[in-house]
Amino acid sequence: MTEPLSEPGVERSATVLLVEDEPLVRLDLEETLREAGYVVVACTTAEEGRDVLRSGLPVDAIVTDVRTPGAIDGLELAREARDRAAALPILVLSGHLEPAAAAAARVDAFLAKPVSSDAVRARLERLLETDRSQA
Amino acid sequence: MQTVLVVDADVIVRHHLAEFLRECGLKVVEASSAAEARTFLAETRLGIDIALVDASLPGSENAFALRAWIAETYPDIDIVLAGSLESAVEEASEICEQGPTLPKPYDPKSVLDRIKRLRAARDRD
Repeated sequence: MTEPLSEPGVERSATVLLVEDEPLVRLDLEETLREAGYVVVACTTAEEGRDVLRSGLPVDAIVTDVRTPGAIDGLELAREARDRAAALPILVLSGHLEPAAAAAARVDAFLAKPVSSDAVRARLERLLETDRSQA
Repeated sequence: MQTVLVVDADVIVRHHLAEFLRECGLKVVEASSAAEARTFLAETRLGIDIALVDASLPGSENAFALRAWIAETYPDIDIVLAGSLESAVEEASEICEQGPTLPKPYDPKSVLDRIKRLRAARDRD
């Protein structure tokens, strides 16, 4: 780990790293989360998400699809994120996720696709509230 | 409100250009490839006014082919090709200046510096 993923004490909107390869689904999620007040870093692949983590850009939560094109998938991204920041809220979206795989990736929550963007926002808000209450 | 389509394969560049433009009061849609840009143009009613496209866009369809397609299909869209990171930030600043809503939220040079710093950290990791 080279830099922290977030900057404690800095007043800013929560930043959500969003990984979804389907562009129209991603656009819908982005708009819903931005309207809710989040800064959204929108990634097409888990590799892009990993690039963001490795850059040190402060991230407060991850919402990721599991099956994305490229060398790693959303669960591998979740594993790397967990290794970097043990308390980072991670929400996984998938139509095909095996419970054992989700547990191995140490994700905080799982929503089965298809899922509405409002349901994703609501689940993310609960995760962030829990994270804040434990801080 | 004007809507800008930012097309860049590098998420760090794309995100920072888009956030700068959003802070200017513009609506921004981000695409990581020419194919995604086509999807947003053809399958949504976003009403895109300006396309800011990385000239070195990788993939099976390059930036010049995308520009030609947009120009033919959506002649009302202004297309800006940026040949470098520096010119992309400069073009974003120009778009912001021309926008009808808010002034530049912060110095574009700070955007450039931040992108360079984050990319360097990514490449070191």
